[in-house]
Amino acid sequence: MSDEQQDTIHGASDGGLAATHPAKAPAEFLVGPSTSNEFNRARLLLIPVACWRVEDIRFAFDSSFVTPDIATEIQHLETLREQHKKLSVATGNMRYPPLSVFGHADPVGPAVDPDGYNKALSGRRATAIYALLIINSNPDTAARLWKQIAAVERWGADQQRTMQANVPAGTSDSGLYKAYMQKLCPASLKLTPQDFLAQGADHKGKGDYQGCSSFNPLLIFSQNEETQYEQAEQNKDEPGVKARNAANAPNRRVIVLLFRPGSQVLPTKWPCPSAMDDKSGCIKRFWSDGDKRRHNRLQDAERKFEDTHDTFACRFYQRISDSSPCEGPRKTLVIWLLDDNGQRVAAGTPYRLNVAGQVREGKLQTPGLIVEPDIAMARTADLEWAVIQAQTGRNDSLDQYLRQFVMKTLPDHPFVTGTTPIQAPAGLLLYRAHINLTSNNADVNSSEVVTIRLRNMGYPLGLPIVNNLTIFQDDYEVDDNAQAQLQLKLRDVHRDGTEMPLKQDPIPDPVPIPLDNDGIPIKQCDSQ
Amino acid sequence: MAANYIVAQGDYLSRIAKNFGFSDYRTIWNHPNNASLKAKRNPNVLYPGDSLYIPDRQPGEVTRPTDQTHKFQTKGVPLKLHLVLEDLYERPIANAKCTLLLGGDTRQVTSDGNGNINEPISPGVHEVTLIIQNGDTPYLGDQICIRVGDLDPVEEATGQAARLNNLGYAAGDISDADPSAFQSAVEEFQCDRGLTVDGICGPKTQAELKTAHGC
Repeated sequence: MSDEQQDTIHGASDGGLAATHPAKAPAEFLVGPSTSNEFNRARLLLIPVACWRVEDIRFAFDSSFVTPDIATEIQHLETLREQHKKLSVATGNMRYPPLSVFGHADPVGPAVDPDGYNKALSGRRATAIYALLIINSNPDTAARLWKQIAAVERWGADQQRTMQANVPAGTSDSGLYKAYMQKLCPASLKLTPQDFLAQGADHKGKGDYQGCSSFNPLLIFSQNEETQYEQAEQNKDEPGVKARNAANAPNRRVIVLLFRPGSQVLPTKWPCPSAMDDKSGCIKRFWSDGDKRRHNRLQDAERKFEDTHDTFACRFYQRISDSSPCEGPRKTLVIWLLDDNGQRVAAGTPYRLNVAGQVREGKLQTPGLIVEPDIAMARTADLEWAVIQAQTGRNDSLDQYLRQFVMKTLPDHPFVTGTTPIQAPAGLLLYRAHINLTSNNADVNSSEVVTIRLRNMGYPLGLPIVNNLTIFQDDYEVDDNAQAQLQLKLRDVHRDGTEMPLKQDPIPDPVPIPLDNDGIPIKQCDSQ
Repeated sequence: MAANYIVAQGDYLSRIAKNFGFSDYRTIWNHPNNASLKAKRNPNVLYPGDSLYIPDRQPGEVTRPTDQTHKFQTKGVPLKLHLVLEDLYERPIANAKCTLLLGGDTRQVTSDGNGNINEPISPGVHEVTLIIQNGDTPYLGDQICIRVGDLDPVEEATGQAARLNNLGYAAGDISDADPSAFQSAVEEFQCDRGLTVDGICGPKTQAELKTAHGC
């Protein structure tokens, strides 16, 4: 049975995401043999291997000015490129995956030609990111691109102040853009135009960076919501307008796709128009029902790309970003935290959660329950929490099973049980666990899913599922011993954090792992 | 004994002929009982379920003096595997050294200036692996899987999907419940070739597919 799978998300933060695309099955060519002049054309695909996403929060509102905290996301990109480099047999050098930048806007815009407005805005954002990435090899070009954007968007005192605050004192005005961009993009990341998909062959950047306007929304408001927001706009209701902009934020993103090293496109053949050109080239590549896809609203439900995969108007973009984790949703994660006796941990317990680099800290508001919104999905997570030994009340016991933790996405509440705690100073027990994520909507009969749930609840590795289910049946005093029923019960217990019925026979006290003088857990032998 | 043979996946006429002991597939193909099949199919692109009439083998008679050795050579139509290898946007993978693994046989071949690889093969060949050994294509060193005889006619959806896939349009699995990958591929192809973009692979699109793909 497969142990933890490789996380496809390598880095995530409030400002973005870096992820590897799921591997595609290798191409198979079905051909016919020839007895006369038949032949078979075999054309090798353009394959994206990874992606990098920059959230709207890294830009000033309705602007392409990039905020300084993007330095976090740039680091993720640096790591991502390193992960995907490949040795070129021909030259003996390392080849990096070439990039192409896609800017996306939300559908809000002026009454006249909102699509054109949004194409220009999304194009400017893509350009701004492109320029930022080449600052260390082509500082003059980069600064020029930013100045052009600044002129069109009329950057003013705010942007000036932000830049000044982030550059060495005494930087001249003429060197301000360069210095600011160099602050955001470290010298260790030195991309050149040749590191992009069209290799800088086109002076307008065709193939390297482009704006997709509002053609590919991830989220389309319901008709009810839209009516509400329109009224807010008309009544100049500021909180209402702000709410709409916040709700639309997932649509305003910049996606950078990384392609197989050695890939290259010809600007003349690349379907997307350049960032500066108008939208007519885009419309050519729409699905035949493209406008319906991106405009249709349901009366009282939102339409989301993650659910139906039919909200993008641009067929070409959909094909190329197909199954990209960067176009995936952010979710609310819910964890049920239980101790070794299967009882919910007390409210007020402090915790620290890390999901592929997204770190959240807090205290349990409700016994056993951790809720964290807006997390980019990954396969695993790490959780730490602390319990004051004296306050645990019941005998926290080191169960004879190794207990691990599970986290699920809403509405599937994860079920987390205690593990071997670490003795910290001041009578604290520190628990630390590595969690497997799986959706409650996942196939309840899949042995992989059942295994994850069982393992998350601490049932022994290496025992067949049937044996583990029997132990689970005992623990939860389930009458029905049909496997199918047990699997259903497992899912429900896992989702609801159901406490285990307290047992008659006492279980021995836990033996916490002591810390040495430097506060490091002293290694324990396998047998306790 | 003459019989009707039902074509299976992977069959093509030269292989069927060989299996039935015919050195020349035309003996079967030109038989009047196969006239209607011949009218609608390419002998190398048959479809599972096609019914093929296999006539009796006529033994050939030749008179020769007995106290000399004689050489008899069976005539047949040579069978070839003809690929045109391209990178994205129709750039041929030209003058590239490649390794072809055909069953037990390993061959080193070189594509020509237009990406052509045209290799004689025996009718038993089914799964072939191609490995591009030089140049700077991103596919360098990959084991590219080629299945000879599994291409269905262009009138069939499976044949359309196979050609779209071969041409780099990623049409997905035709047995998928969700047809959108196939529709998307058809539309991209129609858009690239200047046809009406409607996502339906009708006769015009099929003809264009056949031309673009080569068979």
